Amino acid sequence: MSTLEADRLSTVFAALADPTRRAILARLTTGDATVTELAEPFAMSQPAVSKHLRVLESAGLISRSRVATSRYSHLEAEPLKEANDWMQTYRRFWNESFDKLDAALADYLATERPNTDDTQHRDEKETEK
Amino acid sequence: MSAIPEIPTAEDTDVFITRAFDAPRDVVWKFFTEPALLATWFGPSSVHVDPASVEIDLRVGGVWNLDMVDNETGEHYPVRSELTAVVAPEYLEGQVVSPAGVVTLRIWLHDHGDKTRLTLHQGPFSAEFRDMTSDGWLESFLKIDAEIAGGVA
Repeated sequence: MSTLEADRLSTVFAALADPTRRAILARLTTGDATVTELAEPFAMSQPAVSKHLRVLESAGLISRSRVATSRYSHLEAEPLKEANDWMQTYRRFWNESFDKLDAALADYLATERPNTDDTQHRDEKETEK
Repeated sequence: MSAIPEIPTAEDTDVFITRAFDAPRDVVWKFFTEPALLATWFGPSSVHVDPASVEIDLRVGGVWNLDMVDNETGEHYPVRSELTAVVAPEYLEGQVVSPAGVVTLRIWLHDHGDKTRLTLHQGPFSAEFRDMTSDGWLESFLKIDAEIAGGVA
């Protein structure tokens, strides 16, 4: 990952860290909306909503366009997809690492034969997460 | 000695992996905390660890560092971490520095005799994420997934 991509992802994650901004994005999945429309469900002034919109816009999560006197916000899905992909990358990172750990443990136990007789057997119930 | 936190509830924002290993807990612990053993497995299949790069100072405030090396290009990917909790042989926690920022990595090892169950939690992906609840987030993601599937992106 380049520094530029990483910086952009950090901006996306920071923008998504706020519940109001996530709610705004969820609202925008149903269609473009004006600041007034977006402010409606929140006990929040229009300037406060505008501030959130600026954060979302600078993260590339929304774009805004003017139609006559109204300014519409539009959801940009691509950065979210990137953020999701990025998390998938982490999962793959660990799953592949653990495949290697599995093999390394098998090798270790087969060759080193450590003294496992004193392994503690705790009375611990196997719990499924 | 550090306190072991409860395993947090899985959230879509964080990486959460549970896996069973066919080895006693003390052995699995060694593979996370002894440099020569950690070097044998860490990283995805496309990389290996430079054994000389592994530096582990097993205490709170100590380092847990290594370099991953791309098998094809030889490019080095440093992993730099500071340990924030060490409870041998059951819990390891650190702040991992990656290109995307600092993330908390937590590893629980559960003793099941000859087997060990490992729970890994990585995240949140920024300090603000810590206070984040799962509601809204997951919903947004599902909707946006549908949006992407619908060809909007």
